[in-house]
Amino acid sequence: MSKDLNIDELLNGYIDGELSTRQTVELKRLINHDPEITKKLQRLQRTKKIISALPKVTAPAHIFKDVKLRLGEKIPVSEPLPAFSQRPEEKKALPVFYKRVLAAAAVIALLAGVIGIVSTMIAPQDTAQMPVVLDDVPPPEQPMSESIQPVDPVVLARRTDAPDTFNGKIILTTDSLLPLDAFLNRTIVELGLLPITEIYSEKNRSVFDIHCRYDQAKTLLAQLGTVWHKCESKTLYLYKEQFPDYVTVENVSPQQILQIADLNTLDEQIKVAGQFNTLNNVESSLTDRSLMAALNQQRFSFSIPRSFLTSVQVPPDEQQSEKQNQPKNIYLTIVIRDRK
Amino acid sequence: MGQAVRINLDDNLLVGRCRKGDSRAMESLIIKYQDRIYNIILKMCRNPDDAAELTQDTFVKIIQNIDKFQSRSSFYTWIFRIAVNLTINYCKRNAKMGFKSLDTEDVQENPNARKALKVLLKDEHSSNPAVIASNKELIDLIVWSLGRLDENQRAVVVLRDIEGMNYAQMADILGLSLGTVKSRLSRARNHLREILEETSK
Repeated sequence: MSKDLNIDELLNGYIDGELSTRQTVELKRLINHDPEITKKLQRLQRTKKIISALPKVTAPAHIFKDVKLRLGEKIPVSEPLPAFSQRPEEKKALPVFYKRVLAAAAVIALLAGVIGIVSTMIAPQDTAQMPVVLDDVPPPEQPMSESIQPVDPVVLARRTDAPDTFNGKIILTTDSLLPLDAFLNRTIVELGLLPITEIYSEKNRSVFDIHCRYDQAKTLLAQLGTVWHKCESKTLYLYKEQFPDYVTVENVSPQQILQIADLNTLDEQIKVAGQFNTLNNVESSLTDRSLMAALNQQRFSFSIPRSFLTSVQVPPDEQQSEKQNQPKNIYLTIVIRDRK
Repeated sequence: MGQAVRINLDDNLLVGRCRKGDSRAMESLIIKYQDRIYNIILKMCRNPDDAAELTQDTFVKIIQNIDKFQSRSSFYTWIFRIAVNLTINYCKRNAKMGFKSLDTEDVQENPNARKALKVLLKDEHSSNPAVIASNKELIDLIVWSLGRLDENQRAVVVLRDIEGMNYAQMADILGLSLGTVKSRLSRARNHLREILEETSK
């Protein structure tokens, strides 16, 4: 009886993959020489197979709601957000009439304003030699092509008004709050940024308050760029020295945020942020059919430069070496809001 | 929350956020585990309403006691321990009070399902998931047979063959030694085989 029980346990261990190599070899020898044991093994395998084949069921959708109801007030309230995150967050959408005026004026604005702005930038490629046509422009959300490596968390000094500081907030509105929240959480963990990130969640939004170096922000934004298209609106709020004051960049891209953050002084950051905002507004207006029709009708033929900068009056080599010597303080708050 | 959402967050991160009172982390935690918890509870207690209620009890208990969770075992085993203990107690209580499922006779009396089970027990190749999944009466008959095991035997079979846990995890969840898990599973499978054969006649 005891021997039978022991063999039964061995056979169960065998079909469950719980035996050591030695036990497996010995048991296989027994199975090959004893038809009774072989029969027993087959019966056990079939029994296991029948139970394992039972279909998986999905939990009713109301579980979370019911748990919440049952816990009632016992569900602790999320930690209050820091005052920094409680300032006005959303600039009103552009009124329709403004868009139309902008569309009508865009023909002139593009020639005068945009070219003026472009003159302060160094384009990534020589646009005179290689014109970029709107249709050929890659989407701004395109992920930055570099391998993502976890970076060492470094706790930097507290926020200061030092020139090597970037202090901004990105507000993303989306229909996919939960998946995006999960994505950003996972990314922060994978990149090793958890120790330098404060995470808060409320009913309709998640807030990630990150204090990091420029290279860490770059890696994080590169990852975030892969889901940028899932956000209905993306606005950067760049804080001025006096906290209630800020400039906004609507429809901002991760590349633009990095380029602003890369600038050495707040004045430069504010100036370029303003330029990006204008360009992004013009770009979004250009998608308006009436404007495109107007442009076609008037047979204008010009190319729109991409709305990102490569540097601002600093030679790339110099800028690069400066960046390596002086890690920038990045204070970045990412707010993901439910669009509903 | 009608559609299935995959949550791939680290348990430690979620636990940390839940301890801070983060309601979204609680939601993520529930979404991450609710199907698996509900699935094993349903296989153990058979009644979908009771399974939903027990799943809720499990998560309420988890959230209320999350501060008490110590990382000696994994969070995964901790929550399954809560779910299994609640379900075993529920089953014992019901057994004592003599509750029986109303569909017991219907399930047993279905000749087609019994015939299909007989084939499954004889033919190794017919017991593939597609064959079973397409036959609701057969599923009911198998789950009914599983329900005839006592709660402790049912728990080891469900944890191993449905949830796919290894013996060490089962020992941790059930608070048993590894040797006891092995012998209990062995007896449970033999007993289940006898029940299935008897049911198929």
